[in-house]
Amino acid sequence: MSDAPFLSVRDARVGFATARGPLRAVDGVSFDLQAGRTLGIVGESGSGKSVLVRSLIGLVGAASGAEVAGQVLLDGRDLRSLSPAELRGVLGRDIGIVFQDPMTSLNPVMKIGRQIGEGLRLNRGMDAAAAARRAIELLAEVGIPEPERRASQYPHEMSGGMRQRVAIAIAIACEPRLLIADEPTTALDVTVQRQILDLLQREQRQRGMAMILITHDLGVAAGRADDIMVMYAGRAVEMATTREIFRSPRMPYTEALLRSLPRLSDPTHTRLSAIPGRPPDLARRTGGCSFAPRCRYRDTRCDEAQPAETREGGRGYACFHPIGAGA
Amino acid sequence: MHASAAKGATIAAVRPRRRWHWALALPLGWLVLVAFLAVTADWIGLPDPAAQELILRRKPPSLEYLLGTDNLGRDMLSRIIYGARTSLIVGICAPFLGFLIGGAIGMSAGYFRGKIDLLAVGFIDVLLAFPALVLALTFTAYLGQSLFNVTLALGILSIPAAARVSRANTLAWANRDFVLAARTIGASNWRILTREILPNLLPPMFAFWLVAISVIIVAEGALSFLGLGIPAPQPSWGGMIADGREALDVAPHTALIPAAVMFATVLSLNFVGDMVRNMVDPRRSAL
Repeated sequence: MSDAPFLSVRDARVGFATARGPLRAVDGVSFDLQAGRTLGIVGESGSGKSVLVRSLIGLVGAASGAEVAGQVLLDGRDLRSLSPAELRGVLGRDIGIVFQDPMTSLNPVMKIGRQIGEGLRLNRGMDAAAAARRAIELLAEVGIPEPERRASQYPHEMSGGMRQRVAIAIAIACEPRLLIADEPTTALDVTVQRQILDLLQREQRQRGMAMILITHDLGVAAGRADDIMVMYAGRAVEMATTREIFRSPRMPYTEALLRSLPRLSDPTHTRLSAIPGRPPDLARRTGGCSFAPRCRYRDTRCDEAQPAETREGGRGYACFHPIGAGA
Repeated sequence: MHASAAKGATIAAVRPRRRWHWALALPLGWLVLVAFLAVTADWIGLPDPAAQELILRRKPPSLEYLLGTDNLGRDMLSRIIYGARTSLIVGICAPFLGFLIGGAIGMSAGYFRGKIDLLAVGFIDVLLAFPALVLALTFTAYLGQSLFNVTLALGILSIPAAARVSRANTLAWANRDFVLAARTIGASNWRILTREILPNLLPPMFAFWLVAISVIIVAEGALSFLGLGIPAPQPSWGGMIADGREALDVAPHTALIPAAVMFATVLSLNFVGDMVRNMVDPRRSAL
C-alpha cells in the first residue's frame, strides 16, 4: 500500500439540473484503489454508486446534462483532462465494465463472437479472423461450453447467466487493468449469482486487475472485496477494509445495513430488522447529516452540521456518533 | 431466470398466431406478379402501350384486348403493366431517398440530442406543416415533369415520416446498456451509430418502408391525376384514371380498372407491411 495508488479519486462531484432545482447525485467522494485489489462500493438504490463510477470514466458528462467535478488519476494520468479520443483509448485498453442487466448490455442483432471481438479489432488492431479466434478462447475462458457454436449465436439464444458471462468476456477482452462491475449479479438468479462472482474474482486474480464491485448487497461484497466504501445520499459515509466493516462498523448506517442482513443462525420467524424511513430527496438537502432522520443516535448536532470525515488508521467515516470508536 | 423463462413461454404461445398466415399468400402473390410483369414488360410480347388505334377506342375487355382499350384505343393491359413499372420505380425509389436522408436526420437527432435534436425536429415540423401535395405540385411545376423530378419531390415529402420513426427508435436504443458498453470499449460515435444502433433500426424501418411505398404510389397517382405527374405518353396508373374519368359513363372500365389495380397493390403492400411489422415486434420485445 506504500506506492502511489493505481486509481485515485479526489472530491468527485456530480450534479444534475432538474426541474426542482440542482440535484447533487455525488457529493465530494474520494478514494484510492491499489492495483490488484477489489473495492466494494455498497449503498442502496439512488445512493450515487453507479453515477459516481460512470462519471469517473466520462460516461456521465456534459452530454447528459451533468456537471462533473473532481480529480481522477488512473496510473498517474488525469482522466478528466483527456480529449474524447484519448479517453476512448484509455477506456478501450485499460478499463472494462460489466453492467447490471445482460438483457440490455448486449446488442440483440449482433452475433456473440463479433461483439467480443469488436474491442479487440478497435483497440488491438486485430483483423476479423484473429478477433474471432480470440473471442472463442475468451468464451471458453468465461466458462461457456461449446464456444465455437455459441460464438455464432445471438444473445436471445442464451440464458441470463450465460449472457452475463459473455458481457464479462467483452469486458476482459482487451486485458484491462481496471474492471468495473456495476451490480453484475442483481439481474440474475441467486444460484447463478455466485458463479458469476466466482468468475469475476478468478479473472481478477489471474490478470491482476483492480476491480470496483458496485452492489447494494453487503453479502455480495463480503467475500469478494478487500475494502468497502459505504455510500449514502451521494456521500461516502464509511470506508474500511471488509473485515473492519463487518467486525466493527463505525457509521450507524453501516450498522443498520448489517443488521438488516438475514442470518441463517437466527431462529425461524425472527423479524428482519429494517431501516425506518426512506432515503432523502437529493434535490432538497438539509444542512445536517443526510442519514440523521433515520438514525437512532441522532441529536441536535446531526441536524445542524454535516459531519466531516474522521480518519482512524486506514479507515474513515463521517459521523458525530461513531459506534465503538476508541476516542 | 424465472422472468426469462416466463417470457419464453409467452412467446411460444403467441408466435403461431403471428407466423405465416395462408391469407397472406394472396397479397404477397399479387405483389410478386405485379413486380414480375413490371420488370419483364419488354419481353412478354405486349403491344406498344402508346400505339393508338382510334377505331378500336373504349372497347370493353375481350379475348383480344384482355382489359379493353382506352379513349385513344391503346391496349389497357399493356398500359397497366407499363404503368406498374412507373408506379414501382417511384414507389420504391422515393421512400428510399426519403428514408436515407430522413433516417440520417432522425438518427443524429435521437443519438446526439441537444441542439441537433432541436434543429432536426424543427426542420421536420416545418416540412410537415407544408401541405404535401401542394409542395409536390410546386416542385414538379417549376422543375418540369419527369420521372426523376416526381421521384425527388415525393422523396422529399417522405423525409419527415422517416425521420420521426428513426428518431423515436434511436432514442429507445441509444439508452440501452450495450451502447454504453460499446463506448467503454472505446467505440466512436460514428461506430456506435452505424454498427450498434443502425442494425437495430433496420427491421422497423423496413416494415415502415413497405407502408411508405403504398402511400407514395397513391401520391404519385394523385399527382398524375392532377396532370403534374409522369408526363404523357408514358403510362402511369394515376394518369390512366385521369384519362378514363372523361368516359366514366360510356366506358367505365377505362378508369375503374387502373383504380382497382392500384387499390389491390396498395392494400397488398399494407398487409405485407403489417405482417413484417408483426414479425419484427415480438423479436424486439423478447430481447
